[in-house]
Amino acid sequence: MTPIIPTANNPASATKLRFARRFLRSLSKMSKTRPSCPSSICVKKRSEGLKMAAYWCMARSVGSRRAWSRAILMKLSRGRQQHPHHHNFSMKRKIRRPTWLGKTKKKQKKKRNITCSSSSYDDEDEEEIMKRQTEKLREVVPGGKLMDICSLLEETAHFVTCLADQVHVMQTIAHRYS
Amino acid sequence: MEHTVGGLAGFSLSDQAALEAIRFDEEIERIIAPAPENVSSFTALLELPPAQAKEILHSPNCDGAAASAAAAMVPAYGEQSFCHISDQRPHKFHSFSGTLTLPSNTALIERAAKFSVFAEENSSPQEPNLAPLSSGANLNRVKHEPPETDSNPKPTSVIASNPSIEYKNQRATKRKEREKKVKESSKKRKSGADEASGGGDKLPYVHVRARRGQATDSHSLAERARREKINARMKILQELVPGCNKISGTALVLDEIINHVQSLQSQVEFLSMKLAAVNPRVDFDLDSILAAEGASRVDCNFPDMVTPPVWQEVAVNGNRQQYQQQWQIDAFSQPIWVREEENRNFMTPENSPEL
Repeated sequence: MTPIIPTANNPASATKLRFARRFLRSLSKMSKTRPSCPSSICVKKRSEGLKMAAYWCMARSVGSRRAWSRAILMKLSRGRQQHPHHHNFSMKRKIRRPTWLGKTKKKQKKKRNITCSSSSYDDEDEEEIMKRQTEKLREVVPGGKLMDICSLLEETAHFVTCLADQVHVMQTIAHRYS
Repeated sequence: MEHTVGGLAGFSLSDQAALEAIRFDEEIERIIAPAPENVSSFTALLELPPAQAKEILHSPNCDGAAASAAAAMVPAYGEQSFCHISDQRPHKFHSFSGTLTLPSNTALIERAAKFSVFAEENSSPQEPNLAPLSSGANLNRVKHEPPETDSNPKPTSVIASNPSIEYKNQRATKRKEREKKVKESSKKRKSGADEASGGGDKLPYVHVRARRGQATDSHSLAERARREKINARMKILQELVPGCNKISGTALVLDEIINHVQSLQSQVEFLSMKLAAVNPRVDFDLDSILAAEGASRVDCNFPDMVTPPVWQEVAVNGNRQQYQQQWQIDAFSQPIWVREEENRNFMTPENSPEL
């Protein structure tokens, strides 16, 4: 058996490893502090906390290199300051969630309807459609509202790769323990 | 500075002086490319003619005297003349037009055309960019001049008003056409440099290269560079998001990207729900997970695992400091990994006292 290479040659997979490690740590912490109750409310709370933990771990793994990771870290730390708890991330459900995570879903749906209706006039409203889509992208990508289109696209690309890694890790873990 | 004196020497009426002027012109072109400080010298040069042109032109015989006088005058002007430009420009030009009717020398007229063009362009706020205009083609190759194209119609219209120098207009326009073609190559350099720099830094002078048949307006050039950057990023995104390669059109691609990001986020949410439901199990052993991800496992040295390794995490927040007794292995310090089953057997008695 060959020993594990600690640092991967590909930086992307190094981030993935870091994320995996952090996430597992936080998972074990969560499982230790919170008693696991089978009630649906409890599960819901835990899942929200887990989601926060996942994003936080990913942002920490990426570090301050990227604007979106900085945005996530700032938002989460600000939330933590508002509600100082000395427990794990599952308590974060009380904290005001960053808009890009979940609150804007209704807004997005509304905007989507508008986009669908206006797509028929794409000759006239091409600019409008582009504007609306960049607005949507800004909402979806953390920290997107402060960036110009060029850096927004760059951040989106990196964010997509990191999200894919995150999903892969979480799928592996869930598969492992299901 | 000396070369500007040579340029001024072109005002003399003799052909020899004109040839000399042309030669100096080329030297000036060479110098102008790297040296923006020639602005002041040229404006000094321009400052000089109104005062000296009459002298020079009214005394056509003393070419050498004019040259020497110019040589004497130019260093004296230096930087101070620069501030006087705006005040004296109007009557300077009038003096130009007045004196231009006097000489019949083609070279002088040509020179005057260049300088009148230059005078007109001096009115623009970005004078440093426009200074070395006697060699218009070479200038544009080096520096990006925003108002240059704006000022292009101006001097031509002003010059056209003067019938005696009408054909200078033609020469000026021909020169501009040449400049445009020369400028073609500079655009790609700008976009290339822009891409290389990552778009973060703003240079004082943007080296631009306009493609053939495209407008060389500064705004359109900047716009084009920006669009190219955006298109490059969109291509990267298209490669990342599966199924985007076939779609054409920015709006649909953006739509696809947004949908993909949203689907990933909903996947994260779903998986977190799944993990929350699954979570009653305590032992999240790192090595098994990482092994499943592709890290290879190694037979452990069992006595090493008896003592739990030190928790080496950097304390980001106060929460984590409570959990110092974690058994977590730091992969960087211990490359040897326990087998999954052995680890689990090891873990449950290890964790139970902590519970």
